[in-house]
Amino acid sequence: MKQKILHIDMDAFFARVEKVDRPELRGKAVVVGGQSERGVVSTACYRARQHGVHSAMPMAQARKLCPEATFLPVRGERYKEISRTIQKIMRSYTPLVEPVSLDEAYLDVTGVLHSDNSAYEIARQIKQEIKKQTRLTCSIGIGPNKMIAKLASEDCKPDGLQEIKEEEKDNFMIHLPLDAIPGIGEKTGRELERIGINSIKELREAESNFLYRELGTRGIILQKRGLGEDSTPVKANEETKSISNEETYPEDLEDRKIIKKFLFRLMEKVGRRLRDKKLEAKTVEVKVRRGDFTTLTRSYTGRRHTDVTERLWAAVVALFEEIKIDARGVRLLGVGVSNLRPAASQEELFEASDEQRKARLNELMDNLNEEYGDQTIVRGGTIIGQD
Amino acid sequence: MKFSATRAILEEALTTISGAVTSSSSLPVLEHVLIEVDGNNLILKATDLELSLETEGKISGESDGSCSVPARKFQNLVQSLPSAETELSLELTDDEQVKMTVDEINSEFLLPVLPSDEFPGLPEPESQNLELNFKLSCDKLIDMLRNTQFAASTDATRGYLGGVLFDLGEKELTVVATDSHRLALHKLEYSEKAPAKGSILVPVGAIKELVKILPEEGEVKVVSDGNLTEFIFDGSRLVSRLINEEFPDYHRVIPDDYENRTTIDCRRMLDAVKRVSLVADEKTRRLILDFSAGELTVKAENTEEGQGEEKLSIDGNANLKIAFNGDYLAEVLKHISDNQIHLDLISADSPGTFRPMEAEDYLYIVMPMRLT
Repeated sequence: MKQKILHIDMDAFFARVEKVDRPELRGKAVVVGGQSERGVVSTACYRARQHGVHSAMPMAQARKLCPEATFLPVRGERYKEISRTIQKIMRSYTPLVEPVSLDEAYLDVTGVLHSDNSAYEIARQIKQEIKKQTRLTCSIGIGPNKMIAKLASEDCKPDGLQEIKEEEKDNFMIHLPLDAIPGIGEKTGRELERIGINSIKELREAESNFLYRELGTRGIILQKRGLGEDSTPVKANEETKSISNEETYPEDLEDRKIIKKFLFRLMEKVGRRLRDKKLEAKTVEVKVRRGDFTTLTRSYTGRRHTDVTERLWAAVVALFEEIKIDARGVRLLGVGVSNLRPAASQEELFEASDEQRKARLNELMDNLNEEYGDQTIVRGGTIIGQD
Repeated sequence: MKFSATRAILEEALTTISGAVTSSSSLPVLEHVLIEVDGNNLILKATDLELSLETEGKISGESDGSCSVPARKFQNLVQSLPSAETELSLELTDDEQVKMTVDEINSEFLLPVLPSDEFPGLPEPESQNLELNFKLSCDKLIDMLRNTQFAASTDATRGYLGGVLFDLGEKELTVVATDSHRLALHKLEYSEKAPAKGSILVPVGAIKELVKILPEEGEVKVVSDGNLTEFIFDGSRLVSRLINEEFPDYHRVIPDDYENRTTIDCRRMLDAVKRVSLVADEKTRRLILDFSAGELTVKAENTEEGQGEEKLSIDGNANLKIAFNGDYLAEVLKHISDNQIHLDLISADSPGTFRPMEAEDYLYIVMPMRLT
């Protein structure tokens, strides 16, 4: 049987959950997002979207665009609960479910098909079951690989169901805009335009040598995507791929020293979660969103894995050194780790003394904080307002 | 270029240089072997730019010349011939192909060639600037390399951890390799005069290749100019780039003392470690060694893979529990040819040191894993 992948994407998930829970909101515009002065939109329902509201937009701007909307805070726990129900439905059809986020997942149904048309039938049943149990709608795309499935679901939103078969994919692809292809955003779009590629058709027909010369391996990968090829498998295990934490501040931060302290506090939280999950990381990422919403991320991949906060912190400091802080200030900071593996708790020969002492200190501090509550014991650097 | 030779001669020469043939490369010529005929001498060369190999063989030459042919294809063809004595002849034709004729089976093959001047010249250490220059019997070097190279990291991005250190001092040659979790060290008294003494760090890939092709007999000459190293032996040579990084001070991590010395039957321990490892955690590979009252229990704790333990009797009074990566234990036990081995321990969070009972010149240090 040919491979069949489903991409299931809930329609305006957070906003719809709110409407289900509060029937009086039905037929009205609903925007879910941060409630502080500086919060951003998490989800806008389709009605609010008609007014130009979209996710990641500052709430203040959304209020201007759509003053009649009801603005609600994010109720993470409630969405997680519903997400679990939905995932349970999906898993009753195939064990190969890869959740991408609370409201999005890939399913590989290849192994459970009876005929070439049964993927469509399964998708129809899943839609129906989700509707029945949660009263929410979703859009499902079916394709011979993950990318086509996702493009198909985006193409039929909301409440849609569309299958693109292997033999239909060429025709489907060439009618999509160039930036529908994952990896082609504004910047890459401009680069492609510069070398004379303005459509998926032109990307498909370009000489691969030419693309390689101009864009390196990235060019080859983009062309493969343009041809509708994608060989990434649906990964069912829910292994943690990254751990991160970010904070939006009530006022823009300008003082590097203070920013560093906030970064350290985020690092400590991330370090603790890392050790909690008995993992070690190799890559550290720092995210800075400026007052004007330009966001930059810098990451560093070390030579070896570690779960020691001090070692991860050293990377954060080095990354932060490269980030200029100017009059725009900083509204959001984030610290994340990825490239994870189970903590081997293998001791090292050459940094033995120092590294291991720190690992023990981390362990001790985690235990104290566990027992007596957060911030019982903190590193000197995180006490805000003190040098 | 034209010559004839037996399958055996060509096969041996091709096997010797095959480790430096690139399998897929942006430079097609690196997938080729360069064939040179000089009188009755055949010289084969291959390089992947990091590692280069050259070897000689005796043939009956008809006309001198050189060309490069696709190495794997040529090697497969030669190996497919009926017997070691089968004669074949090779000739560079006018239309830029190599013709291989095997009269015994009435066969004729044509292989594409690339002009020999496209083939990069094999590098050589600068002879005026040798930082290391010494000779050693092949069997001793093979022994030292086999006993140490497995401890190096195979991850090429890890710099010095992916190398084997040759450290030639006043009185001894020391070969060391480490991946930062364990370290293997083999020493050899070396009081002979050497033209240049010093230390070099050779990529483990080159060492593995060298161990494969070094003959059991004869001498090997090792020279280096600090950038390249060359091993010359029995009509062949291997040239490798060095790892340009400082090797950590290995003397510092060799424990000068121990609290507990345990003497264990090597074979018995290897069997136990291998068996219990089958149920050890697949990712951490952690085994617990529990010493008490003349007995050692090798344990794998309850994991998704299961659990298991095996008891063996030992000599010594250690009373200690320590965790190690089971693979690190199995690897050293496999390489020790003595019957008995000392395992010297200090505490659960200090390194363990393995020393073969009969061989003072070898040691293997392995860092423990945290017990909790």
